[in-house]
Amino acid sequence: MMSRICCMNKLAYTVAITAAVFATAYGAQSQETFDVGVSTILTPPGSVIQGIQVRQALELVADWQNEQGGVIGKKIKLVIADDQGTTEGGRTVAERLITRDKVSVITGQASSNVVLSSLEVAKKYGIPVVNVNGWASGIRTAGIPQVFSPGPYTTRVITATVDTLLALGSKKVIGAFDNTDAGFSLEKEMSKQLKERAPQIQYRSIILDRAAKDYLPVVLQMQAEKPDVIVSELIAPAGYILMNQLYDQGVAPTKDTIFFEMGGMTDNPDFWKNIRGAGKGALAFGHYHPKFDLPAIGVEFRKRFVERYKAEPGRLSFQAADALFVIIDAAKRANSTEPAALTEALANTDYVGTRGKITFDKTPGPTFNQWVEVPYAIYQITAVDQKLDDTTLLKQSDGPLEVKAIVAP
Amino acid sequence: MSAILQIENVTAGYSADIDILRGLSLNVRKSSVTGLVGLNGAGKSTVMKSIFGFLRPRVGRILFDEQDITHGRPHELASKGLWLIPQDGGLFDYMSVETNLRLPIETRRAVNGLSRAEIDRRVADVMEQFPILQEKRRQLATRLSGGQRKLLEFGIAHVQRPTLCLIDEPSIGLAPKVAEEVFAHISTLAKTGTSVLLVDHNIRKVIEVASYVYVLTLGTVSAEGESSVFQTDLHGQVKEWLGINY
Amino acid sequence: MLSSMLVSGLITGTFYALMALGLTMIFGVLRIVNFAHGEFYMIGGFAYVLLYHNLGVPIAVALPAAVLAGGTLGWIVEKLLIRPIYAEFGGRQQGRDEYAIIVTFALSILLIAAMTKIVGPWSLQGPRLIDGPPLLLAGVRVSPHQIAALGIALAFLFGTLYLLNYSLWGRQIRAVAQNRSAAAVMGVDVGKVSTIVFATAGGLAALAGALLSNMISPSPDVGAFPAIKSYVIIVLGGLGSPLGALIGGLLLGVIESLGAIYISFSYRDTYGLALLVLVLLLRPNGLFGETRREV
Ligand SMILES: Nc1ncnc2c1ncn2[C@@H]1O[C@H](COP(=O)(O)OP(=O)(O)OP(=O)(O)O)[C@@H](O)[C@H]1O
Ligand SMILES: [Mg+2]
Repeated sequence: MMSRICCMNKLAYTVAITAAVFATAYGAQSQETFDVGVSTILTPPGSVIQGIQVRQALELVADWQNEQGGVIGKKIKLVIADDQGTTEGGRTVAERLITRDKVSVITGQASSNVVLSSLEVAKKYGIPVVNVNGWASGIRTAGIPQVFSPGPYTTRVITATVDTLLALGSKKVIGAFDNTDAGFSLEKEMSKQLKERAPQIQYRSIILDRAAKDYLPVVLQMQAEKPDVIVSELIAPAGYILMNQLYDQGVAPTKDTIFFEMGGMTDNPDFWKNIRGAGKGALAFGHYHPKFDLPAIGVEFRKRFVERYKAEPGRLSFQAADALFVIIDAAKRANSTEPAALTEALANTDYVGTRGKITFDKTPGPTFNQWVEVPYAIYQITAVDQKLDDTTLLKQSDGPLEVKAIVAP
Repeated sequence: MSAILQIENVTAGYSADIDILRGLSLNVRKSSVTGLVGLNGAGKSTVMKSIFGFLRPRVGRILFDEQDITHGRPHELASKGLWLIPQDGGLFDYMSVETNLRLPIETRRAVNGLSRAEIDRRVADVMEQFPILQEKRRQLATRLSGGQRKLLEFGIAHVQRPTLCLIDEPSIGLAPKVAEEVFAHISTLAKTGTSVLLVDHNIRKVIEVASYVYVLTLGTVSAEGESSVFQTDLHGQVKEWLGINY
Repeated sequence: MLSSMLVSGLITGTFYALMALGLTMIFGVLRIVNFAHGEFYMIGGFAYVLLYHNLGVPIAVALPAAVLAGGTLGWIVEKLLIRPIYAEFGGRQQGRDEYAIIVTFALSILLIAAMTKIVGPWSLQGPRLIDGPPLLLAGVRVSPHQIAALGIALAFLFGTLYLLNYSLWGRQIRAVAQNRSAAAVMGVDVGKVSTIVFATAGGLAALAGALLSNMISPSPDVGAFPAIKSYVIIVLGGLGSPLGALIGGLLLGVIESLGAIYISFSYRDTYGLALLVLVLLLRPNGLFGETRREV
């Protein structure tokens, strides 16, 4: 009995201390800061490399802004949480950021399933969400007024892809998608657009498990079918494995079969640490290219990024930077960091970000609250270890595809 | 009277707060059978485990051939000339009869400085003594009957030529005829110079083969004496020791 | 198509088996499941890649060094974390399974976190053992590197199985697995055997990680996939059975390969589980279940 009492005391003591620590921590959090919740992928099963790029860019922009005195007199404070790129993670992180950390706005989400799972949470609490990289159509068609998308989206990506396939004059195409919300959404849109816009193209799509480590069976199957183009949406690390196996089996890229990387992973910082010959000759889709004509703020962002991280920013870095810039702009215009005021200001965004002028569409449907004109690039990698700078830019946003510039590997 | 094994005032148990053996002292005589009897749960198997280092005594010491083995580790004892035929399962079920016979001695070949020829000779000797083992030598031990398993365990013990063999409940679950055979082997072991500490439920047989008998009650010796003394009035003695009609 | 699927499945299965063999040996000898097994694979992969890329160590040295790294880690882990489970013979056994699960699981998280801290979350492709034009094997292009990796994997697999069955050391390991106390009585230092088994398992897993690092770039979290495969395999093949690990590994490789083509690729990992359920329904102890106590 004696020891029981002693344990109870110890427990009560611990609880009291913990409570005191938390109270101090949260009490100290006066109205001095603008708390921005960051939900991103820091551990698997999601693509950690994406989460890292997002986090780097957000930290850079926050520090940069704070250097200049913050936003309406408040310093930006990023509250970073790990959503693991999963549906469950997305929901719980959003709940926690809102209810426990009391953030005014959430950004950073790098995968569609995370954004989708946070929709209801955002709506319930009326907290704005400016996602970085949620491609799936469902994010827009849900029509949640608090959710904004300055990043890539399914219809635009697929429109660009089908434009490219048409310009290439392809006859037989295979599309590979992963079993995520983004993958399913893209697969559906691709089949739909090809049927409508290019019925002459013989097309087949396959859904691959993103957790798998060996795609040889499907690679051999593709080999037997001899397509002109293989389009892949798989992101790292699954995408790396698929690319390497396609290359090892001599399937693509070859002079007969083009490999089109649609997932946007060729500017990942570890791309060339995992891809060798498989990269040479590949066509790649991205949302940034160094040959873009960047607005002043984009040039400055790139300069600061290279200085701080000793590496070129990739498309995700730009996407993340724009998400936070849009939030900062809204807070300034609203002269408030209150969620409702922020939401209203965000809806009326007209802001020149790192890659161009950002506005959000008000039409319900697949472009609701979306930066419709989000820029993109299609480029060809022509050598192993090539810097993004040296790749051949084939198409910038809605411009024509420079088919003649394409060289066979 | 010289003792090969001396247990002096040993206290031991499986968990810190429960003593199973409580100040136990007993001696095992050289080249003869010493019997240990007692009720279920008295701690007989615990005595065996303590001798063999599976359980560390908290108090007391254990001397083997005048050498202190109280804190010896199990695998070091076999090479000193100690052997144990446990209450249940002393065999490697998924190895052949022959491997079961050879593996233990081969394991200690280097330590005990034995030649391969010597090992072959000993194994052949056992095969001769137990024709059934010769016949089944390629079979897995798991395919043997209960009696055959016991014989194999004795065969293995015989290959070791131990100075002291601890035998725990050898007749349990065996048909009376096979049990007879087992007790005959125990007598043979003693006659060939091996000292034996024998635990068995068959008190009559223990007294018959042993020269000295200890009675264990709740982890301590409650009676002891020359077996010849008991043979005359076994019934009365057992009743007195254990409180049961025999 | 069928023959190339078989070839592809058998290649994958060989590496699965290499992982599962160590795991099943640990189970056989210690009666615990090592939940950090995948991290030994990860350590082996990184040791190989980092030694080569960052320190310029030649491949012929980096590969054995990776095996050694896995083995050393196994040795340390056994001595430090696993030993308390059986330090006292016949001692307290309550909660030993729970202890083993918690300790190995925590170790797994710790190793992933430590590696993320040291090398970052990136994945790094390993160098090829040898370069050269690929060979065509039943319609599958197999690079000389893959052939070399496969050869080494097979040599270690069968080498380990041979030693387990025919060497005195191997028999002693099997003896401990089948009857711990009888093995101690006959003079086997079971503690030492347990350490050796853990180190061997660590070395084998690390070897698999290094050999596959060219095909599957190691990253701190890469261990999850080989670990899950090996858990399926050891139950499939019969817990503690090395032969079961070999056959189970090959079988899983082939089933996954065929299922991916003839059923669907989307949920490839589930074919192994379906097979497992089927086998367990028919043979509750796994394929080689009657020898489940054997190592
Ligand atoms: N591994 C163990 N852990 C905890 N307690 C044990 C263990 N083995 C035996 N005991 C306990 O120790 C006591 C003595 O057991 P032991 O096996 O030594 O008795 P025994 O005299 O050999 O009995 P039996 O005639 O049934 O073989 C018993 O109360 C038993 O419950
Ligand atoms: Mg007993």
